[in-house]
Amino acid sequence: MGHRFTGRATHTSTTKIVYDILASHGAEHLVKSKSMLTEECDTRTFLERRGIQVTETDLGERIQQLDDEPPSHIVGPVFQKTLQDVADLFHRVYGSDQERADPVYLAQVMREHTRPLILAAEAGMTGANFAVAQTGAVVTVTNEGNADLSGNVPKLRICSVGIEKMIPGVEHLALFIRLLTRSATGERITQYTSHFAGPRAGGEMHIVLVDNGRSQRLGDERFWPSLKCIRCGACMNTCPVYRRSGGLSYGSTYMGPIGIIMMPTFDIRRYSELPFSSTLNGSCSNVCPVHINIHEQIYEWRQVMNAKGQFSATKQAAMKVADKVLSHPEAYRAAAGAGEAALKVLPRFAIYNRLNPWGRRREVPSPVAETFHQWYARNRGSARPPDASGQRTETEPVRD
Amino acid sequence: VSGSLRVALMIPCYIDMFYPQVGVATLELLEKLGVEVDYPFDQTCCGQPMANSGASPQAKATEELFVRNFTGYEHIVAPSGSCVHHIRNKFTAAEDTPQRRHVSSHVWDLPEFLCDVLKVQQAAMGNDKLARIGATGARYIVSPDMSCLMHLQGCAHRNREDFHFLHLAQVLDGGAE
Repeated sequence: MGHRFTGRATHTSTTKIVYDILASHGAEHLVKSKSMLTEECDTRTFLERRGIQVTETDLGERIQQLDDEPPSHIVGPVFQKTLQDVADLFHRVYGSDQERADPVYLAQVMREHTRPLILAAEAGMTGANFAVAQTGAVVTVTNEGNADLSGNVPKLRICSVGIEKMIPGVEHLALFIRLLTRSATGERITQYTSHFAGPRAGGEMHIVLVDNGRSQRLGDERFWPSLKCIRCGACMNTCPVYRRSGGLSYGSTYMGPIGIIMMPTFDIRRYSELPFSSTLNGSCSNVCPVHINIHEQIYEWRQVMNAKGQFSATKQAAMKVADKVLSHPEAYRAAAGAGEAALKVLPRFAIYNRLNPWGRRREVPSPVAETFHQWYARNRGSARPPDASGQRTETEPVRD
Repeated sequence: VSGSLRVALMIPCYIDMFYPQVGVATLELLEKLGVEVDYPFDQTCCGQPMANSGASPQAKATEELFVRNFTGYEHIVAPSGSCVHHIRNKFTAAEDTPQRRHVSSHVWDLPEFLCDVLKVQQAAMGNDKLARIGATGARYIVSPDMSCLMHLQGCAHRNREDFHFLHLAQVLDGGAE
């Protein structure tokens, strides 16, 4: 069939392998379809630094490339931009009509400028939504058909595939395609589901299987389930933090809830704050089509960050104080006594969050004249209730 | 109403300090429903603030204090869903003892306790709505939701009130006579 497999690459070796393939063919122009794996491996930057011209062919991804921004969503990379943003950008880059913030016009502008680059490219690259072991096919799922243009027009085709994208057979693919498209865009199937099972006539096809920490993650009892992710983005669409802040705010390749649990496996120090960009409401886990316990893992990552010494000194100190005060009733009563004192103790530990300190956008609660505890002591007597043990009486349910 | 069900009232730290009136309302509501309410006096917090911050080890002593305070009760009731969630599902900083398991499996969020344990069946919302509708002088109640109308109709019939209930389709179909 003419496949050439290159197995188990790391982040840096992936880009090197891709570069070597291109260099050995004297290819200087590469067109590529949208691929989060190439973002993860920073493929574009690596190649561009070595003189390869790289053109994204997915409309949204190309917009982001022209604006020098990473994708803000794994399915819709340009969700954060308005039509006018795009019209302004195209006007700046291509000299198109800035007044026409019209999707049909803007898509046409892009097509006119990108198609010649596709036709001239010596090499094309795609990622993979799935790789089917049974047929050896790399499968891409798109609505624009740009993976087909990237993969089929040039004679040299390179597919980089995360090893977790491998599924056994076509019957499994049928299920996963439905799961992916439904969860990603609410469609039963996308416009294009393409199987790249071999090179085009007279061409070559290279498949680079990328590990980049995946095997190690697979061995991690707590955090392996993120390998089940099929990159549908449903967790982002439902996440109240993502919906408000957008994908770029995470400062990470994979964003949103799934990004929170994946990124620290790449670099725990760099992404030590990421697990705190969540309310732990669990909506992500509820919508995940492959049942990843995302919010449970976010909670778990927080514990890991503490255990691995990734808390700031301030936060460590605050936790220590909270520990002492809340485990000693007398200390708690002294600190929580009505009035300003409560404010001194509570916001620091109860609503502590460096990424979104409570007081920045909200008013901290007003101090009260009397705590519940004081009210109870005054109105119901300070006498402690009788020892509860052994005096319980079960009764029939009460009916109103 | 029966008067001998006994519960421990858990007042979360932030309610104690900032919203004492919520604690008072919870206490009084439970008492109105005939429940005997104990307020364990040495309670502070459930430990969630530390655990959710990633600092489980620093929640250990607080969770253990909670266990000591509440282990003697068959029902622990708190007016805070997230605290109940923590006590029920995340109480892992404290040592794993039968007492810890007991509090985790006997804690209730207030509305949950009202519905699932006390089995309070309220028609108050329906009656309130009818009272407000009645105050406008309206005699016909029209809705696109028949189950909502069924609820209101049930309340009205019980109260012997004279309202007419129609689905929107009946009105648009001209059958409102």
